[in-house]
Amino acid sequence: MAERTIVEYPHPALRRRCAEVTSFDATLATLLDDMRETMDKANGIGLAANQVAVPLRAFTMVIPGASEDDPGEFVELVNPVIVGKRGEVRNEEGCLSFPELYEAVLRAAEVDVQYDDRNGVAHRRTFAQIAAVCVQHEIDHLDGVTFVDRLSPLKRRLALRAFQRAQLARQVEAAEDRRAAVRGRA
Amino acid sequence: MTARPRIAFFGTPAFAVPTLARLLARADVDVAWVVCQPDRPAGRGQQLAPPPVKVAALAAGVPVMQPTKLRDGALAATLRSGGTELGVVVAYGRILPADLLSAPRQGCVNLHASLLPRWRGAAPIQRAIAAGDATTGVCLMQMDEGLDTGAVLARCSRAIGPAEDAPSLALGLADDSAALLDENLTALLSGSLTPVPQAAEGVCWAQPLRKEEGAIDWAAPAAALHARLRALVPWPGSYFVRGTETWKTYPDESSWTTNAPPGNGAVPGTVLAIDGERVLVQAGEGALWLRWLQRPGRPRAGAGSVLRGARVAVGDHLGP
Repeated sequence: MAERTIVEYPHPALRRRCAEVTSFDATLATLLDDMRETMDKANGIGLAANQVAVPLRAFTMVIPGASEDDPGEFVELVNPVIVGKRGEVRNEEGCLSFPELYEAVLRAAEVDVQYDDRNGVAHRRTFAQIAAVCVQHEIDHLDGVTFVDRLSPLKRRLALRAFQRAQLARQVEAAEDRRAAVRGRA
Repeated sequence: MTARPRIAFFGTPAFAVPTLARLLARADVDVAWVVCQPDRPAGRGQQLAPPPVKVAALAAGVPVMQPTKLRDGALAATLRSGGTELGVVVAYGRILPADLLSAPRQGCVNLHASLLPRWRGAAPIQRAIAAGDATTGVCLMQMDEGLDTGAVLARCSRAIGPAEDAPSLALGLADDSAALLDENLTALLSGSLTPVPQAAEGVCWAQPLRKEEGAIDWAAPAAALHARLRALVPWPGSYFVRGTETWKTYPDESSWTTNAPPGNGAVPGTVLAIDGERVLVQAGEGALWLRWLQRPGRPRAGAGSVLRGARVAVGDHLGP
């Protein structure tokens, strides 16, 4: 298990339509394990494969528990397809590829999903509440869609502008830290 | 996908606004719901006025809910399906039923304006002043089904000044509540705060104030009288009946004295001296300076002026 690097907007991997998984082998297993570790370390509740620059249709997700003592459920979905959706919710979402950006997005409240597990066995499951929102968010990733694409044009422009400014500030700070570290060693 | 912890905020009066503002200012939580009491008629003309928390929430673009019934389970269901992480309750004004308390993942916490287990109940700020406490404070408490009985996660204290009245103390405690939650929220959400159950000894109850409590009992010690004057501002205020009229008095912002002439044997309620606008009145033990008086149908005025206008002289009795 290793941690992978999560790509940030505007990395081209986030725009790729990912390819179906056809071979359920050790490489896939390693990818899924790495994705779980990466997601946990980054405190995310969902992570799509192309967010770690692997253009395959697979994502990992954590379903939060109902109470404090409930640790939540970890799931992996390969080749996921939404076969039914009901209702509407508007909820604030964030994304590991857009650090510190949170915006409200309209999604279906409940979804039925057909998917494979890491061994290629087919499953069908219904997700509701935050899990349903997360499933839709991650499947969007696999189609090259990010959550800001789901905002109104005005909100999208404002959100991206603020995000890019913050991103630039973070990159400048990181570069300065690296420079200081080098100076410290010299 | 990432999701910030979602917080449901319950609060109604101005006391709760600083805490709401601090929560809204934090980037690491999402105040997804604000719940307050329905609009109530207020002021001259009794127009429906929105509670201060509603005004603050709408200004920040957060949707506000004002349920009239809590026991029907609708709000609990909304919070549960929305994935609420924590409920924060500050002066909401209603008792929350058990299913609502357990709807958020980490339950609900309450900011209570007293050093629990002292002054559980509806009017902790005023009762602390009236009882002559030297300090009070705020407790961050994990709510359970009892009334202010939950384990305490964090507390802070504040001294009660000798001239402090209920509104000024409430302003200070409101800011203290906001700071207490702000400092402890990260630890609370990550589960690293240890709840300390309340002691069984030292429980006392802060009964809600009643209009009749404003009646001045001159036989009480001067210190207690002064404390009550300060505690009952702005409601029910302090009053005494003089003949057919009810006169009101308001606490003075400056200091007072208990010195009474030794052995004067005056009946409590007798005017002992008039010094400009200040009037010295015999209490059960010591004497109390009054600075403001208000006769019915007139604005409040300096006590000295009011007594002169009412032809009340030194030696006369004020009360009933």
